[in-house]
Amino acid sequence: MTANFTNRVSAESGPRIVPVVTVDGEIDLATAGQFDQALRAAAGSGPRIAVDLTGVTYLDSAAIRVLFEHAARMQLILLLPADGIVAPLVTLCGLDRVVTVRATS
Amino acid sequence: MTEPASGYGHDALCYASDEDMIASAVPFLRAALDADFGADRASWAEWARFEAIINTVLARYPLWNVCMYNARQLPSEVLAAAELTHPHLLTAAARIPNPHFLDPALLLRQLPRTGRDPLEATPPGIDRPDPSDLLKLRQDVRDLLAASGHPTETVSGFVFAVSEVASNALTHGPPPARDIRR
Repeated sequence: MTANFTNRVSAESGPRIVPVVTVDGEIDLATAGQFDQALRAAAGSGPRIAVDLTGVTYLDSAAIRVLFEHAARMQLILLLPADGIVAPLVTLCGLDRVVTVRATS
Repeated sequence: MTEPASGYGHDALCYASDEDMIASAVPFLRAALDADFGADRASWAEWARFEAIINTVLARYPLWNVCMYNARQLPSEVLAAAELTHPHLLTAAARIPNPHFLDPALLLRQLPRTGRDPLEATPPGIDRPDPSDLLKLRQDVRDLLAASGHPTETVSGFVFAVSEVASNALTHGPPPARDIRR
C-alpha cells in the first residue's frame, strides 16, 4: 500500500469549518510531494487545516519536513493515535511544539 | 554556552541555520567539553580522529572550545591523542601553544583505521542496486528481521534508518547503489 490522500471539510468546535486531509498508508520521499499538494489544496487561503494521520503506517523525514513547512504558515492540527508509530516521531523531532496534536484513540 | 553581559540572561534565539546562529546571533560561543571517550581502543581512536578533524571543520566559526581531559583517570592513549589534537594547552599558569600539536590532515593519515564490524565480512541480507522503490525496500527489511527476535521498536527504528539512508542516496546520487566493501 502506498499513500492515499482524502480531502474533506468538517465542522469543528461549533461554527468553525476546518478542512481535513485524511492520509492512509506510508508517506515517504516518493509520496511527500503528493502529501504537500493535498495539504495545499485543502488549505486554500484558509488559516488552518487538520491532518488525520490515524491510518498512516509509516512517516519519513520528507513527510515531517512537509508538515513543518505548513506549520510555519498556518495553524496545523494533527489527529493521531497516542499509541501509534507517528506520535513518538512527532515528539522526537519537535513538531508537537508548532502544531496542535489531538489524540484519536 | 553563552554568557550574559550581566545578571540574568534570558534571550530567545530564532535562527534558520546553525551558521546563522553562530555567525550573527551571538558574537562568540564558548563551550567546555567533558567527553566520554569510550571503553576500548577502537573508540579512543575514533575520538582522536574526531578531535583532529574538528580543528578544520570548525575553524571558520567564532568558537572557543575547552576540552577537559582528566589526566588521573584517562588511559595514556587518550591523553596522547589530546596532546596531538589541541593547538593550545591550558596550564595552571597560562594558555600556551602546544608544541606537540600535529596538522589534522597529517594525523588522520597516521592514525590506524578503525576496526571493521565483523558483520561487514558477511554477505548482505539485502542487496538492492536500485533502492528507488522505498516501500518495497522497507517491506524487505521488515521481512528479513521478522524472525530475528528483536523487539518491534528496534525493527521499526532499523527500517526507518535504512529508508532514510536510501532516501538520501536517491536525493543526492543516482543508482546503482554499489557494495563498496573491500
